[in-house]
Amino acid sequence: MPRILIVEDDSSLVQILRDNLLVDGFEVEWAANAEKALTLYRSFVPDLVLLDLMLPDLSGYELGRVLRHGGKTPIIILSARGEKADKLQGLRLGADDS
Amino acid sequence: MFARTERLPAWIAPHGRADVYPVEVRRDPPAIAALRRRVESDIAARRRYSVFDTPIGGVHYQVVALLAYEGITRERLDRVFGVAVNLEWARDHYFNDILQQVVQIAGSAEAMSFAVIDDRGRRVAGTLEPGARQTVATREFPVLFFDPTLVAVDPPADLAQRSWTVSASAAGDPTFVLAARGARRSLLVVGAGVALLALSLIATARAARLSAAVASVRADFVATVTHELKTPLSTIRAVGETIVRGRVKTDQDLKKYAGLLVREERRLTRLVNNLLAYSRVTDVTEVYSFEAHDPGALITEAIQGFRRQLADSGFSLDVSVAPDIPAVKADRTAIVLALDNLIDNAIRYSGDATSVAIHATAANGEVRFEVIDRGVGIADDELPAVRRRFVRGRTAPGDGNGLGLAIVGRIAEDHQGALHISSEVGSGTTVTLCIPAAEA
Repeated sequence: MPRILIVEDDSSLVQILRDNLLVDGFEVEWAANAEKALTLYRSFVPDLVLLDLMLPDLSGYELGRVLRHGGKTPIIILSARGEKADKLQGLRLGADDS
Repeated sequence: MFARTERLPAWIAPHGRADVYPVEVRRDPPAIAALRRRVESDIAARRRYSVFDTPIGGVHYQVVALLAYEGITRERLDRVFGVAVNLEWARDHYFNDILQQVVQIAGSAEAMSFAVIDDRGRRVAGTLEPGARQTVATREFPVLFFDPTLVAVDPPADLAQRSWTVSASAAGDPTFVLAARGARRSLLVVGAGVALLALSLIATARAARLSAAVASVRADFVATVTHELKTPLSTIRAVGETIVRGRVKTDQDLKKYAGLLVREERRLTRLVNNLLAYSRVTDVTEVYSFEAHDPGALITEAIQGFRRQLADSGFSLDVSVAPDIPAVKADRTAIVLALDNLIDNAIRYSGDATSVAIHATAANGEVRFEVIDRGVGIADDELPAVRRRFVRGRTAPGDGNGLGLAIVGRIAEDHQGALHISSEVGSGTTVTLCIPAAEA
């Protein structure tokens, strides 16, 4: 069963996302900050990362760069910032879609 | 008359001796006879200073002299001490030296660039192109080698009123942490150069830094507000789509999602209120309506909105109001909003703890509203920063907007009150809002 790691600090958004993904048959873990995301990335070994850009402890861009450096797991950026510049910056760090 | 040996003016004949001293002394050289008469006219008028422009040997000078008298009636002249500044030399050399020193104060050379532009738009010193687009601060300064506030109200007719401009850009500067260093070093420059011009340049450098910092705060504002507005909207849309697609199977799930919608609506409302309050409290044309209010009633009003949230999450709220507490002189909406923000913070930063206390006590003519949580706390080094707009602590959970404490601080200030925060990481935070009591 494919595993998805959600890195998002907003609990409401996580709740609705997780419920939907669980219904679709994914295994889901959730990290509210970059530190926990890194730990789960290693232990949970996700097949896909959904990454928020605004985290309390590290910017999503930086975390994305770190995760990218560590492996080939696809990253999709979740962002309330729909600006073109944000999307480009996300893709530049190696996100697969944003 | 004294002149620097290594820069002897052309209108003074050299001694022809080997230079022993850095300064040469001449008694009444003929070239300064006109200067002397001009100073004597100010002495006759009992002026304290003599300032004017004059040519000496075909070179333009600005003369600044202090006239000292015996006694307060200025009957007898004691002595005259002054300097003549070679304006052409100053134009060619002085500003470049000063700029280099200012660059040292203001930051690295590649981060800050400056230009001094004369009254005809020509660049006198610096590297910044005149009228460059990245210019972030400009300041006009009078080309005066003295403090104009010390001299007579009416400037003498023979003192040219030149006004030059200094421009600065901090376009290449990623950080703005050098202000403290600058303050210390600025004293050195003041000692080294003519104080006013240097100060003007430093002030300009600071202004450049400030506008760049303001621009960065604005960018943060847009990012924060966009995020804070759009995140709840994303949740609301996702909930709606989930329901529309028939993915909600049980009544229990439906109730859960309805709860999410209510919670997100509250968040949006608080954000909108905070933004409105912030523009209201920063807009001086809008005034508060200060009236006497019962502190207990204000607390009750503020916690009203949290009752359901607290009940659902098993939170306990311990409210205590001291007996015989005086009324506060306050704007009701503002204080309720302040308490609303403080309680919201306390709940959000509670971590695993499930109790929040609100105490109202009176002392020294003011009422203290204390909001106490047993949560994650704020690190000492972050305490000053969290009161500013859009700054959230490292331990902050996701759904804050970084506006709350800035608003509360502002409201406290507007009430001639105060906001105190004491915190310990891991054991909780106490925020105290002090508001003056109403006159009995």
